[in-house]
Amino acid sequence: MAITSPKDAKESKMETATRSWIAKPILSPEFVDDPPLEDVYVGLIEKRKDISIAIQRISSILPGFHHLKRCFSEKLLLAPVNRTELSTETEHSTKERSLTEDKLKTVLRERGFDLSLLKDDFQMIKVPARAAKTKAQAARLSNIWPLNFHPDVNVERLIDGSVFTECQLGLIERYMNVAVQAARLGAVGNANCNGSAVIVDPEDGRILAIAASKIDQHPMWHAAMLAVDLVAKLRGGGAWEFEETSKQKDASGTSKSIDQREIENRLIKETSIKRKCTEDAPLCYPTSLSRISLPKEESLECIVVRRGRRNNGSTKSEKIAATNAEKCGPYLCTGYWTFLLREPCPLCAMALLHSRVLRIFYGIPNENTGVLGSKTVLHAVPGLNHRYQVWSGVLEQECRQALQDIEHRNTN
Amino acid sequence: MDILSWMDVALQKANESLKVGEVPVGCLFVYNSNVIAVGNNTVNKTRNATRHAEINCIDQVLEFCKTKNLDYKSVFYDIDVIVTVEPCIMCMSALCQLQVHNVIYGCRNDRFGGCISVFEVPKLYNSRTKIIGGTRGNEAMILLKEFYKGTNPNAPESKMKKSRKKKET
Ligand SMILES: [Zn+2]
Ligand SMILES: [Zn+2]
Repeated sequence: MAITSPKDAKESKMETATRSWIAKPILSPEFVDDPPLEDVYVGLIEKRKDISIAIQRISSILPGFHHLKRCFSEKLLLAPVNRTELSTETEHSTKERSLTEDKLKTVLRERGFDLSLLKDDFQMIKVPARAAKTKAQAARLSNIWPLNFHPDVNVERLIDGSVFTECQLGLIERYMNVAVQAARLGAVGNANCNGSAVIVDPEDGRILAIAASKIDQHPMWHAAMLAVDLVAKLRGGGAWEFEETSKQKDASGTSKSIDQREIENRLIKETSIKRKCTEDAPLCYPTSLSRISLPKEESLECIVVRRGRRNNGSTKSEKIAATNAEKCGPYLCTGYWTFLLREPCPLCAMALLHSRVLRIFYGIPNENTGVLGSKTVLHAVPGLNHRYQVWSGVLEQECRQALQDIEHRNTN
Repeated sequence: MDILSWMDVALQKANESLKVGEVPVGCLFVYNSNVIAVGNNTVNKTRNATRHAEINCIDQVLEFCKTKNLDYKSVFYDIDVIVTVEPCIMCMSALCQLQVHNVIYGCRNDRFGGCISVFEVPKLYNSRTKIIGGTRGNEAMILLKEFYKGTNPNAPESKMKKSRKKKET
C-alpha cells in the first residue's frame, strides 16, 4: 500500500510486512477503463507563426475538445468525424451520417474560418473521446495526444491507498476480524449471499451491530439486512423479532408488534435513546455472536481529522454525516462504516445504500450476484441519490477460508 | 378482482402512507386470487430504511405461511405482486430471490428502480418473474410528486449530497 506522507513511510514499511491484504477501492468503470478513442479531422498548419491565431479561430467557431490541447506538432483539431450535427440532415445510414472532409470545409468556410491557414488536405487521426479521470489514465492517453488534465486529489488518494493511514488499516483489520468470527459462528447463507456484517460508528469506533446470515430462519435474513434492523432497534425502532428462544413464533415481525413498538417509541426521549445506544451496543444476531471478543474502541477517523486540509472530502462529509446521525432520522446508518465477509447481493447492497452508510469494506468477491464490483458497480450507477465508498480484499485470505468452512459445514 | 381494482387498493394504501409522512408506495401480494398481504412504506415508523412496502408484505406472507402451515417457497412462486411504484433494486432483488410469479407496478422509480429504471436486477437472477409496468402509473406518480413536493423532515440534507457527489466514486 503506497503511503505518500514521508513521515509515515517508516512505520508503514514495518507494518505492511505483516499485513497479508490490500484494500482495493471499487471504483466506477470510468476511473478504471481508459476512455475510448474517436476519429477526428485535423488540419495541418501552413505556417508555424499562425498557430495561435488558428487555435483562436477554430475554438470560437467549433468549440469542444476541452480535455485536449487544440494543437499539437502543427496539427490542429478541427472536429470529430462522427459529429452528426455538422453533417447534412438528408443523410440517413450511419456511415453517411459521418462528417466528410468536403462538408467540414464548407462548414469552416461558412463560419468564416480562413482555410488558407491550413494545408489543403485534412488528416483523420484518433484521439481520446473523453477526459482522463486519473493520473494513470492521463499518462497513457498523453502518449496519443497532449491533454488538459487536472488530477482530483481525493481520487488519487483512493487509488494509491494513501486515503488510509497505517493506523486506520490496522483498525479496519480488527473490525473485519470480528466479521470473520461472526461468519464462522453463525452464518447460514446460500450461493447468492452469505457471510456476516458489522456496522461501526467511525467517530468513536463503537460497533453497533454484528450479524450473520440466517436465511434458514427467514429468506430475507441476509447479514446486512439483519445488521440494519439491529441498528434500528438500538434506536428504539426495528421490525423483526429476534428472540431466539421464541423464534418459532416470532421469527418474522408482525404489523401488530410494530404498532406496539411505535407507541413505546414515542415515549423514548432522545437522551434515553443515546444512553440505550451506549449500553446495548453492539446488538448481535444470532445472539451467540455476543461471545466474540471485541476490539478496543478507537476512532477510525483520528488520522483523517489530523490530516484535515483543504479539499479533504472525507473529513468534511464524515463530519456532516455525524451530525446527521445525531438527528436520529430514519437513515440511521448515515456516516457509518460496514464490514462484510463477502461482497453483498443487490438486496444487501441496496439496504446499506438506503441506510446511507458511508463506507463498505468486504473480504472476498461474490461472483454470482455481487453488485459492488463483480456483476456491476452499484455505487457508480447513474441516478442513485446516495453513494458510498467501497473497498474489497480486506483480510481476503481469512474471509475466503471462513466462507469455505461455512459452506462446507452447511452442506454436511 | 382484476388488476385495475387491485391497483386501486394499493393506491389507497399509498395514500395512507402519504398521510403519515412515509413515502407513498402501496403494495399487495395476491395468492390464488386472494390478497394475503397489504403493505406500505414504514421507514420512519421502524427507523429502518429498508422497510419498504414489498418487504413488509414479504413478512406478512411468511407469517401467513406459518399459520397455515404452508411451504413459503411454493406460495411465493404463485404470488402476484401489485405495487404502485416500480420496486427498488433492494425489493426487486428480494422478489427475484423469492421467485414470485408476476410483478405489476404503476409508475417508474427514477431514483432506485430495480426493474428497468436504474438497474435491471432480474437479469442477475435469470429470473422467471414477469414484470408489467404502467398500470395506473399516473395516479401513483401524482402521490409521489405530492410527497416530494412537501417537506420530508427526515430526508438527509441536500448539502450532504452535494459535498459527496464528486468525491465518492
Ligand atoms: Zn444479501
Ligand atoms: Zn424497495
